[in-house]
Amino acid sequence: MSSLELMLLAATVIPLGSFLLLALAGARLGKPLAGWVATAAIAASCVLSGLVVVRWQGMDAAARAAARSAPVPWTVLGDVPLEVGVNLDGLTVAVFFMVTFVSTWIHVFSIGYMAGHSDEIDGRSKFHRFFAFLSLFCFSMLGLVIADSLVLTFVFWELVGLCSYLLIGFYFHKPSASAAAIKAFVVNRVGDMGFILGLGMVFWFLGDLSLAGAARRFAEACGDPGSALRQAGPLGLDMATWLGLLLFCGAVGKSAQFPLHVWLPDAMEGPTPVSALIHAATMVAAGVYLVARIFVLLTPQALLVVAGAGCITLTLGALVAVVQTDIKKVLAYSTISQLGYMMLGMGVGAWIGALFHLLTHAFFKALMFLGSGQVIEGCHHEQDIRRMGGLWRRMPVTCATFLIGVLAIAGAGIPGTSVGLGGFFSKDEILAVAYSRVYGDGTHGARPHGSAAPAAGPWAMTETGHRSALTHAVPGVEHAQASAPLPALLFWVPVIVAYITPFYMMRCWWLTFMGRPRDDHVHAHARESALMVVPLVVLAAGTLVCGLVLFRPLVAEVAPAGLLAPTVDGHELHEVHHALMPIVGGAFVVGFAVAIALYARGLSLAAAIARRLRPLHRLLEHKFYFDELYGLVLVGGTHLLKGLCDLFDRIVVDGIVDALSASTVRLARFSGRDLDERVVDGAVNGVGRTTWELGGAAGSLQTGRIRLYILLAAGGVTAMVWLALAAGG
Amino acid sequence: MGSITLMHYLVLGALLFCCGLLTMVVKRNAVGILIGVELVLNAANVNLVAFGRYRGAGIDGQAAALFVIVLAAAEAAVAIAIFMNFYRHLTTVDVDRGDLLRG
Amino acid sequence: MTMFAPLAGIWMPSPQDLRLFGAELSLVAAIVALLVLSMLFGRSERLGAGVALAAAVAVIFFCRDAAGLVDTGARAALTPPGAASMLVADRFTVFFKLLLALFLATIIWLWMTGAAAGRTGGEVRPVPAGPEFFVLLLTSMLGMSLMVATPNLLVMMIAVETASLPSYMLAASDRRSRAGAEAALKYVLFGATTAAVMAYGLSLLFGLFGTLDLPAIAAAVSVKGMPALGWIAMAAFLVGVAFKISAVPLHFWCPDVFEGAPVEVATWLSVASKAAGLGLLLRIVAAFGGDVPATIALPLAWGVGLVAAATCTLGNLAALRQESVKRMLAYSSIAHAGYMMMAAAIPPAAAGDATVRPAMAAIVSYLFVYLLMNLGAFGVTAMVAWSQGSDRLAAFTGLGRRAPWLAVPMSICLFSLVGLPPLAGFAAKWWLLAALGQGADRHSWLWWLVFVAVINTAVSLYYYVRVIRQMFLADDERLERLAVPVGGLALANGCAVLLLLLGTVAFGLMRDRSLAYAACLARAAPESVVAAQDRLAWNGGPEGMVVNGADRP
Repeated sequence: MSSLELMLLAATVIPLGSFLLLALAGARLGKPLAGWVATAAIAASCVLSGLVVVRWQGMDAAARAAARSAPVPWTVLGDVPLEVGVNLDGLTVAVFFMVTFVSTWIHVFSIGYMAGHSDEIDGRSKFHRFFAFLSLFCFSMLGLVIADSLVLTFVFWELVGLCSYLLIGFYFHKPSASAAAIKAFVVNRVGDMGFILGLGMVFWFLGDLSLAGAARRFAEACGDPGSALRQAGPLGLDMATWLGLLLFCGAVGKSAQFPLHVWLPDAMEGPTPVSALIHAATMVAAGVYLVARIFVLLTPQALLVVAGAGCITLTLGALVAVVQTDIKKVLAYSTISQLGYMMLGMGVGAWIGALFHLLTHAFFKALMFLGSGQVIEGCHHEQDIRRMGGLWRRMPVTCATFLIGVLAIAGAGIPGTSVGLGGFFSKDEILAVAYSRVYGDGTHGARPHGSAAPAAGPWAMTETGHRSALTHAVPGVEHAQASAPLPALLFWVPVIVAYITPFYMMRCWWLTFMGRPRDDHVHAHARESALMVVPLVVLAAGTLVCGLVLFRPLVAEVAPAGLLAPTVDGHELHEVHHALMPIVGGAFVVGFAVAIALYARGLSLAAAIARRLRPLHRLLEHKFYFDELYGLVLVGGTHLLKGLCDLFDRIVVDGIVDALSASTVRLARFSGRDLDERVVDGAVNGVGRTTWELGGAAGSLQTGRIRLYILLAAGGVTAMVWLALAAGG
Repeated sequence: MGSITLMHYLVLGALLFCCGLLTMVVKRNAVGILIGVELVLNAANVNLVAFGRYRGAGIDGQAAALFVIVLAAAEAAVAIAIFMNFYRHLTTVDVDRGDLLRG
Repeated sequence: MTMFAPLAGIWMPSPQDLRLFGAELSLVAAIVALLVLSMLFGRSERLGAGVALAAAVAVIFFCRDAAGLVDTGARAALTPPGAASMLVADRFTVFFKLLLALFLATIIWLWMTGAAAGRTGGEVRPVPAGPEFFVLLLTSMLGMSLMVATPNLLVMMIAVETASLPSYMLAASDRRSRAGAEAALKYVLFGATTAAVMAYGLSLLFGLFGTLDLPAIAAAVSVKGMPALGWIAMAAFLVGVAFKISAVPLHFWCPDVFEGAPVEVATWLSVASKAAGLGLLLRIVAAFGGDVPATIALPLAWGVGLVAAATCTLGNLAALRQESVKRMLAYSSIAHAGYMMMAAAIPPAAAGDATVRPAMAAIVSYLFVYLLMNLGAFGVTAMVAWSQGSDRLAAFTGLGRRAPWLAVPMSICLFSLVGLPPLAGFAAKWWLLAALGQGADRHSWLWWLVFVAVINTAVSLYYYVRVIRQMFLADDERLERLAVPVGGLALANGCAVLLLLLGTVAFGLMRDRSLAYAACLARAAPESVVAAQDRLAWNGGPEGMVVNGADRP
C-alpha cells in the first residue's frame, strides 16, 4: 500500500472509530463533548485528505499511477475472486476531500444546531446518538468513495442508506419523521433491487467485480459479436444495456431521480444539518458518483435513458420548487433539480461537467442548507418563508452567505470572462456538451469534449481510462447511435430550466431576507449563533474559491478516454461560455429580475397570479401528484390484485373445488371425508407434523436406560456395517 | 485333537467377546456391566498375545496386551469411583434406577 | 561418564523432536505441578485455575513454535530411526492443539466467571471443587491432543482412553448433583463398552496385518485387498472413534451426559471431545486415501456418509421437542458432528487429488466456527442457568428485555448454528456443502448427503428460533432484569462479534487458513503410505491367515 492509500484508508476509518466510541461511551461523554469527538474525528480525516490533495497535486502522471497498489485478495466466489483496494485517482481524491471538508463544517454547525434542539426522548439524551450516526455516515460515505469494486460499493451504498434512514428518523417520536424515514428506505430499496440484479449480471456475464476489471471485460465482451452480452434482451435492448440500466437503478433511488424522487422532500424531516450533509451534499450525489464509476458499462441506449431521467427530474424539481413555501422544501426540490442536471450531464457524455457540478453543488447546497438551518433555528423552528422577510437586519452573515449560494446555483458570472461562481462553469459545461451532442460538432467553435472523431462516442470508449487515457476503439462496434444526434429536447429543456432556477432561488432568498418583516414575532426573536456562522463563512469561501481552480482539473484527469481533450485549459472553457452566452449567459439576470419584480412588494402579486393560474398552481403545489399517484397505483393496485385473486378464488378455485368435492362425495361417499382431511390438511400440516412426530420418536429412543443404549448401539453398528458393505462393496 | 492352534485362541477370544457383550446388556448391576467390559478387553488380550506368538512379529502383540491391561485397570478404578458416587445418591448400583436423564 | 555408557546405544529424542511436542510435555508438566502444588499449598481452586491457564498459554506458545517447524509438511517425530512413527506433528495437529488450548482458556474463563458469580450472588450453582477439576481437564486435553497426533492404532486407543477417563469424572465433578452422578455412570459404562469393542477390533487388525501402524495397514490393504473380517475389525475399531464424536448409533451418552454434567464440562465436551474425535477420524480416512483402491475406499466412505446422515438427522429431530436448552444444545452438537462427518465421507480419488482438500478445509473451518457458536450458546445458557436456577426454555422468557447483552449474542450464535448469512456459520456450512457438491462430480451419491444436510438445516431452524422467540417475543412484566457477570458478557459478546467478523470481513482469511491446514493432512497421507510399503511385517499377507489354522510359531 502506498502512503497515499494508507492516508485515505486511515481517513476513512477514523470516523468509524469515533462511531464506536460514541456508540459505547457516548452517553458518558455528554452533551457538547460527544459532538466535539465526532467533529475532531472528521476534522482529522479532512486534514489527512487535504494532505493527500496537496501531495497529489505535486505528482506527475507516472507518480500518480505508481501510487496505486494492487488490491488485496479477500475471497473467492465460485471462480470470481473478490479483491479489495483503494480506488486511488483524481476523482476519488477530489470527492474525498469535498466530503471530509463539507462534513467537518457541518459537524461544527451541528453542535450549534443541536444545542438549541431538545434531544431528549424518555428523559434520556440522544445527543451522542446523533453524532454517532453522523460518524457512521462519514465512514460509510468515505468507504463508498474509495471502494474499488462493485461489491464494496454496494456494501457502503447500503450503509449510507442505513445512516440516512436512521438520521431522517432521528426524531422518531414524530410520526411524520418516522414515516419519512420508512419512505426513504423503501423507495431506495426499489432502486437497490435493480442494483443487486445489475451486480448479479456483472457477476454472471463479466465475472469480475472490480471496477477496472469489469470495465475491461465489458469492453472485450462488447467487442465480440457472439458474446452473451450482445444478445437481445427484453424490450429490444441487448443484455449489455440492461446490465448498465439495472446498475443505474441504484443511482435513481439514491440520487432521487424520476420516478423514485419522492423520498427526498420528505427526508427533510430530519435535522437540518443532516439535510445539508446527506440529502444535499454527499449521499444523494453518490448516485451520480456511481454512474461516473460505471460510465464505461453504459451503452448509448442506457445513456439515453440516463439523460432522459435526468431531464425529466431537473424539470420536475425546478417547477415544483417555484411554489414551495417551506424553505427546506424549496432547497430539497432544487437539489432534485440539480441532481437531474448531473444525471443529464452523465447521459449526454458530459462526464467531467457532471462531476464538476457535483463538487461545486455540494459546497453551495450545503451552504444554503446550513443557512436555512440558521434561519429555522433563529426563528424558533419557523420554516415557512411566507412568514419571514426582512431577516437581513437580524442575520446579516447568513443573508450574505446565502446570497453567495443563490448566485452559485443560478450560475452567476460575467459572460465572456472566467469570472463566476460554481454553477457558472459546471452547469454551463453540461449544457455545452448537450448542445454539441444534439447539433453535432463543427457548428461550434468549442469542442469541449474532443468529439472530433465520429467513433469517439461512449460505445467505442469502453476501454477504461482510470489513469491512462488509453483510447481503444473496438472495431466493428460503432453503433449507429454512437454519433447520432440526441433529441433536441435534451438541450432545450435544461436551458429553459436554467431560467427557472435563478427565479425560485431568488424568490426564496428575497422572501426570507429582504422586504418587510411579515411576522413580527418571528422577526423579533431572530438571531445568529456564532458556532453556526463560522461554517457558513467557510463554506461560502469554499464556494467562491474551490470550484474552478481545484476540482475540475482533478476530475478531468480521470475521465474515460475519448470524452475530452486530455488537457483542459481556461481557454477552452472560455470558448464554451462564449458560444453559449447568447442562450444562457443572462439567464440568472432574467430569473433574478423576474423574482424581485414579483416579490418586491410582498406576496400579493404572486398570489394573484397563482389564482389566475389555479390548475397549474395546484398541480405544482401537489408536486405533480406523485405521492397520490403512487398511493393509488401501489396501494390501490394491491387492493385490485387482492380483489382479482379473491374473485379468482371464489369463481375458479371454488368452482373446481366444489365440483371436485361434489364428485368425490358421489364417487366415494365413504372415504370422502377421510380424503379431504388426509390429503388437503395433510399436505399442509403433514410435513410439519411428521417432523414433529419423528422428533418425538427420536427422543423416545433415549429412555435413560444404559443397558438399552448398549443394545441399540450394538444393533445399530451391525446394521450400519451391513448397509455400508452392501451399498459400497 | 492335536496341538492347540491359533484358531483355538481366536475362537476363545470370540467367545469371550460375545459373553462380555451379553453380560453388559443383561446385567443390571453396574459392577456386572464392568465385568462384561473386562471380558471383552480380555478377549482382545487373548487375540493380541495369540497373534503375537503365532505370527511372529517380535513382542508387539504382548506389549500391546500389556497396554490394554493397564487401560482396563485404570478404567476399572475410574468406574468404581463413579459407582461409589452414584451409590451415595441412590444407595444402589442398579443401572436401571438411573433414568432421571432421558428424552 | 562411564556410568552412562550402557545408555549410549539407546535412542534419545533430539531437542527438536521435543520442541515439536512441547505442547504435550507442558500439559504433563502442568498436571504434575498441579498435583504437587496442591499437596504443598492446600486445595486451592484459584491455584488450579492459574496453573491450567498457564498450561494453555504454554501450549499456545509451543504450538506457535511447532508451526514454524512443521511448515514444510508432516514430520514424524519422537521416533527412533527405521521405526514406524508413533506420533506425528504436522500443521493439522498444530491446528487442533491450538484450538484445544484456546478453548481450554475460555472454559477456564467461563469457570472463573461462574465461580465469581457463585461467591458474590450466593445462588446455588455447581462449582466443581478442588484442583483435581483442573487436573482432569488438563489430562483430557492431553488425551485429545494425542488423539489427532498419531498414526498408530494402539496409541490412538491409549489417547482415546486418556481423553475419556478424566471426562467421565468431570461429568460427576459436582458431587452434590444426582444428575451428575447418573450422567457419569452412563458415560463411563457406555465409554468402557466402546473402548472394549475398540480394543477387540484393534486386536483383530493387528492379527490381520501384523502391524498397528495405520499407513502400513492402508498400504497392505491397497496391495492385497481387505478380507471380510478386516471390515468387521475396522468397524469395531471405529466404534471407539464414533463414541468420541457421538455419532449415531453411539450418541446415546451425549444428551444425558451434557444435561447432567456442569455447564463448563458440557461445553468442554461438546467441542473438544468431538473435535478430537473428528481429527482422529480424518486421519484414518486420509490414510485410506491416496493409492488405496476404490473397492476399499468406497465402502469406508459409504459407512462414514451413512453414519453422518443418520447422525445429523437424528440429532436435529430429537432436538425439536427439548425443553431443556442444554439438552437441546446437546442434540444440536450431535447434529453438527453429523454435518462435519459428511465432508469426511468424500472419497479421495487418487494420490494428490485436490478434492479431498476442500473437504478437510471445510471441516477445519467448521470446527473453529462451531467452537465459537457453541461456546457462546453454552455460555449464555450457563449465565441464565446460574441466575435462574434452571436451563429450561421458560428461563429464557423475556431475556431480550431483561438482559439484552446476553440475548443478542445468544441470537447471533443460534442463527450462526442454523447457518444463516452473514454469520460465520453460514460460511462454514457453505464450504462444507460446496466441498460435497464438488465431490459429487465423481460420486453422485454425495448429492444425497447435500440433500440431507439442507433438509436438516431447515428443520434445525425451528428449534433454534424457538429459543430466540422465547427471548424476544414472550415476555412477562413481572420478571426482573438479570444481573450478569461481566466476564460472561465479554465471553458471549466476544463470540458473537467474532462470528460476525468471520462471516464477513475475515471470510477469505478463514478459508485460506483452513486450506493451508487441510492441505498438510492431505499431502501427508500418501507419502506415508509409500514409506510404509517397506515396513510390512506380515509377509504372508492377510488372506488365509485366520482360516488357516495350521499356523505355528
